Amino acid sequence: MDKRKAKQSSWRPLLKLLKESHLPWWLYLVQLVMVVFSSQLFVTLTEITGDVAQGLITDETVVKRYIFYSILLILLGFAPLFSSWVHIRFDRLIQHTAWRKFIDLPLQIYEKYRPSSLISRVTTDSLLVSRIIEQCLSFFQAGIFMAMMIYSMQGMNVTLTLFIVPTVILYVLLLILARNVIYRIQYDTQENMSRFTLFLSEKLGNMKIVKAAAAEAEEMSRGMSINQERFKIAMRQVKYDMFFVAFQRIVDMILTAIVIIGGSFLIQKGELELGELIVFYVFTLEMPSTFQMFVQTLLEMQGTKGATAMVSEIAALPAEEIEREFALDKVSERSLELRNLSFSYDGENMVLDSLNLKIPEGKTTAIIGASGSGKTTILKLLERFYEPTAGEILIGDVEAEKIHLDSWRKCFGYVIQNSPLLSGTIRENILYGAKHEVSEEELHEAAKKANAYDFIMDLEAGFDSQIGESGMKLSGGQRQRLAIARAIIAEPDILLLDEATANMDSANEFEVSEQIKELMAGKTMVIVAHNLNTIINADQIVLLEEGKIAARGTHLQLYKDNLQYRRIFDLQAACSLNTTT
Amino acid sequence: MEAVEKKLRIKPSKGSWKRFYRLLASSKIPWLLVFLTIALSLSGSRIGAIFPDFQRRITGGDLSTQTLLTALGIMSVSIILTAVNDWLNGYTRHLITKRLIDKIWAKILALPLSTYQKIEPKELISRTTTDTSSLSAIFITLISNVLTNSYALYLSLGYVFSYHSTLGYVLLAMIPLMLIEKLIQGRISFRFAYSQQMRLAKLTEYLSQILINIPLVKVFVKEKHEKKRGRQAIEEYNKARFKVEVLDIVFTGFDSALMTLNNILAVVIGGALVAKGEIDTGTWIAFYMYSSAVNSSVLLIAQMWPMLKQAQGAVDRITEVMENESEPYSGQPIAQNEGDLCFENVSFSYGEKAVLKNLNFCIKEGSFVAVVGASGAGKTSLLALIERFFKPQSGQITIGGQDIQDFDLQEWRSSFGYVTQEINLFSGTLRDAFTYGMDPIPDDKEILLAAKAAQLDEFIAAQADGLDTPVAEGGMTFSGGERQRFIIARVLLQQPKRLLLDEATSNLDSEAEYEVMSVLSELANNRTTICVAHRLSTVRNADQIIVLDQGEIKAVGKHAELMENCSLYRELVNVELLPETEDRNLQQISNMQEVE
Repeated sequence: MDKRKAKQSSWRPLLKLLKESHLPWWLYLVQLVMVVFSSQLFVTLTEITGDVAQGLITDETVVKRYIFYSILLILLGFAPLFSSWVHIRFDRLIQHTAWRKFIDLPLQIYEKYRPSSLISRVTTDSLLVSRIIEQCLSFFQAGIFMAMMIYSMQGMNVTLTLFIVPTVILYVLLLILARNVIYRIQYDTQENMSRFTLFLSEKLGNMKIVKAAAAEAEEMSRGMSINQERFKIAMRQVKYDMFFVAFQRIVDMILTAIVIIGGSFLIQKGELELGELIVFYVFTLEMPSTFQMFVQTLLEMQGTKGATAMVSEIAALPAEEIEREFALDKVSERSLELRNLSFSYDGENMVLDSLNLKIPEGKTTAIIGASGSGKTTILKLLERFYEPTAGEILIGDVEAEKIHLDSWRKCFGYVIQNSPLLSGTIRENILYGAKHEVSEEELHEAAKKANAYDFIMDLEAGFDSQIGESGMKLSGGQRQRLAIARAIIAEPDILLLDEATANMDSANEFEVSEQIKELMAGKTMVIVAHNLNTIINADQIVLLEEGKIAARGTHLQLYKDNLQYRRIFDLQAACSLNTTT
Repeated sequence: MEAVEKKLRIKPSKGSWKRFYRLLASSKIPWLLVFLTIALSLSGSRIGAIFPDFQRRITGGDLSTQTLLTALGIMSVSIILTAVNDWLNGYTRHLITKRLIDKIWAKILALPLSTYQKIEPKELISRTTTDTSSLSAIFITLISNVLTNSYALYLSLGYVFSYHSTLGYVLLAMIPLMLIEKLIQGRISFRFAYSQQMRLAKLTEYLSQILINIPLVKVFVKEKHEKKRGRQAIEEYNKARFKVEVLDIVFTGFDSALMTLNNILAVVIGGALVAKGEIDTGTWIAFYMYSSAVNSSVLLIAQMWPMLKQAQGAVDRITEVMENESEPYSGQPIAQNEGDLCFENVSFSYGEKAVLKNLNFCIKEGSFVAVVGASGAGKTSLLALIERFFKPQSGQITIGGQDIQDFDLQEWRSSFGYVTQEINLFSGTLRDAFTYGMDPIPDDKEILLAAKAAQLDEFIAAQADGLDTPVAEGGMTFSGGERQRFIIARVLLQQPKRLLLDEATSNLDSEAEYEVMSVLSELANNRTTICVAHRLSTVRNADQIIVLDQGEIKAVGKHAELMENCSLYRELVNVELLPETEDRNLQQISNMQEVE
């Protein structure tokens, strides 16, 4: 009962997706008509072929009809252009719907998807819808064609038909059954191939280790044994193919024998004409593949329908609620407050537990703590990537949830460790969040403040250098500085930094931190850091432990009064200043 | 992208065929099997061609048992021959592939590390897996197909001409038409499909990039902007797809148009001849069958052309790998008393970049030398040169006066314990990981002893199968500290004559690191040790410190004297090296105050 419900429910979201995409259904009807037409054409043409071949060539009308129909057939050969155009239109519309949906997703749901899964939803899964329709059409086409051929055949001679058709049906069914074996072997081949590739890439990525350990001989024999396995599996495929193809040829032989030998007998008996034998022969050539298409598309449709569950999911995706009550410019304060703030990703584990924290305007607040203590989550909640599970965030006196999401985020800057850069020029990247036209001067200023100006000017194309193109490899520290320049250009009122300088070498880290401090002088900053050195001067340091505030104060206060803080600080002191080799 | 395009240019490089022959000659091609395959498939063709002719008798009215049985007999023999041939074909092809792969793999293992500047590992993988099967395909599938189908073509034409010359000419006329069409199709669709694939890939890349970075999009509130851009990308994506499909459909349309024309000619002309009484219907049927056969033969032959192109590309790529010089493995065995390790006017460049410039220094036997310098100064390259991963462009490295290049390569490397962050958890068992590359292989007792000294014995005991625990993928993972201890255990097992250390700079578990480093420094006692240093404690205790700056030696000496005399060294100590624990806090505060 549940299974049936699941099946029913899988249809509704799919239909919803289709509706939202505004698909031109009538085009497929046109295609259906074309399909019926072309099947009939082929059958008629073959019948005429029989006549002509028998010698009815003397009849001019017959010849004319034959040539006419042949030309029609040639033209119809280009009909797939239409169906291609149709299905691509479909694909485009559905892909676009998927794209829109994913961009509008609330982040909490977005993060549940793996990146590769997201991409395939838009690029490949979306194509499944038109694929099902195509499969449906193929199914109909094969069925109609088959029926027409059988109808024509039995009109000529019932006995022969009764021998041929069941043989074809039986043959195809056996072929279908054999598919499982094919899949098994294909799977094994794939699996071996990926193991081999993995082996190769592991070794190639670690040649230094292999050579340092003088282990070339060991790796040689390992490689050879995987290769031997590959050979064995390949031979299994060869053996199977041999039997499979032989089987097909045998059946072809049987069918040819039935038509030629059986047909000749019937001609002797006067129950069949030569021309009709030719028609039988041509149809018998077409039938196995037609019937096979018929059955296979039926089976494949099942599979595709299952796969569309992923596609229909897309339609059911909720969108982020951008519109609230009013914009942020209605609020003048830039102080933040977390009030009884609790948050959990999965509804069970509390990442933040009834947090109460005031982040004063114009001051720097640092949040430290072990990984998993909830630091990044606070920043994400401030950015309003998620809705709190309980409690609220306030800006000034106003609850954050009353404010439009886009105007909220525009006033924040958020820089994470390993900030992503998009492909494009350095200029495009830095100006990504620009709120208004930015002059070259301002651009250069921002780069200088982020300590990025020098290395950018060292590049051949300077600010117009393409990021990501081969040859342009920026170090982690350099990318990070670009990200900071990007944040600077966006002129945020409140800046959130999440280990933003952790990947830089200590010299850069120091200078950039200084610049940021200068930039944000008088503005609110919230910094999450691992390296206590960077936040020693913060106005307020908050030590977070398992989602709760364990201590709060300035560096000197904490170092004096809080044992844990002191311990962490001292331990870090015994560790490296970050060196990049 | 240009490199890939160059690869796919259909013009083969001049030396292509010569290299191909050379490659063939040096691989162990099973020539006997190849000839057997070809002979068998030719026979198959011969026999298969008989049936349509024979069928005329039957349709002509000869339904005697003998005739019928002969007909069935012919078909059966043909089927069996083809089956055996298919199997033989596959066997030979896969055998050739296997041998080629073994050959390439052996070569890859012997390639010096500098080769990876020219050829990326990804490339090497595809050459080993894909290009080898393309190459073996030439042999069998290509040659066999071309020969067999040409023969079948010849036979079919022979039969048809024997019936009536007009029919023969009709068939003959079809062949060049089909071939030309196929060739044009091959050229156009290949180039075109490739460029469209590239566009598709780029667009997919763009879409993927944004999808992965949606949080970034939200931070900068660029949803509308990206929706628009995405829509454009999707439009173009589908346009490109459509173009590829259109090309495909057009050519398929032409294919069936040609076939239909073929049929029209066969039917009309054949029918006319039947009406005139010059041939009977049975002969017409035979003609029809032969013309289908001709059709498929021509198709198969035409398909070989792109395959040939692909194979040529494969040949080029494989020989490119094979023609690289292997590492100079053979050499003298290492002498017992070595002496000092000296760099004499050594300069080294990696690609365009000059990494080390005219280095001159000596490391006394048994001493502990630390190398310091800013990142990019060339420290790791120094170790790499000692390991003989690379050869210096000029100058030489000697030990006891003798050039290290003279020695047997593997013995040389085994005489060093090369300790870096990377460990070799490839596959096999824990035991294999411990004894990797060691010759002779230590027994379990020795392994456990070394593990105990490195404080890994508990770890081993905790594993379900102890030393037999499988290591690869999901087998097990090492924590940062265990990783370090594993490295130590291997060094202890190996008991190398000399140590090359590249100190860790991770800021994990500093306590474990400290332990590890102290065991290593014990090991360094009385062993010639060269250490790229990142710790103050290391350099303090070194017999000699080499200060590198941009590939040159700026100073050599002990810690105290360098602190006094070398400002660069002082700076390095303050910025680059890990300080010790004492009074760190006060140091911090005073640093801050200085700046303020």
